[in-house]
Amino acid sequence: MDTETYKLDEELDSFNNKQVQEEILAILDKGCNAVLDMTDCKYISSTGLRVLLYSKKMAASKGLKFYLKGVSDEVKDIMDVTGFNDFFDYA
Amino acid sequence: MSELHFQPIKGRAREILKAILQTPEISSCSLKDGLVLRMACEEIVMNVTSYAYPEDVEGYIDIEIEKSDHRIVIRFKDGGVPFNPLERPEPDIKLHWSKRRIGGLGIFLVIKKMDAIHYTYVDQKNVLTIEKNL
Repeated sequence: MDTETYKLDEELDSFNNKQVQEEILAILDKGCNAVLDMTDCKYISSTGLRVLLYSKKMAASKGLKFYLKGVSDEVKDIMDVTGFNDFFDYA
Repeated sequence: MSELHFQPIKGRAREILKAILQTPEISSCSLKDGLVLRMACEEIVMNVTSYAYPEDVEGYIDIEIEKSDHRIVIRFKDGGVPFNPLERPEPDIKLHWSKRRIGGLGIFLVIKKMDAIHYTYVDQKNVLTIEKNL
């Protein structure tokens, strides 16, 4: 099964979450596993967490995988607080 | 101390947040503290600009920011519908991902990452104050 990567800019927040969500769904809609490359991302808000969980659920519903890559300590900290760290496979 | 006032606020969340982050009190914080404060301010500003006022009301938001050597205090005031965000039930963060609902984490994150948070309703204003040790 093919895997495609979408690379984030410096943030995943209320102002780019819709666009990022669309990019991930477009990969899943092609029947590919999706990797969200967060190497450059230092900032995530609750709307960003929403994108991560929704992507995971959408991938699972299609029998696909959603991976995270390069999660920074700053993002990891926010994911820890909300119990998100165990949710994801890491590419 | 910095004081900011915006009216109207509909569709201006990005601009309001940028102005808050550019105040000397916040822009002089460490990168780590700055990111946490940005998250807290984004959650609160998004809530107020999106939900505080009925559709046909030209709402406002006032923001006051005070900083001492070891602590920053940010106070948000709006004239919208009385709403205490601290009364929202906390999400169960132990649930398996398949059982977690999408969303509902904004104020929870603010509560967890700040050192103090208070809500009062006075003079027909919602007043939400967040404090963080630096």
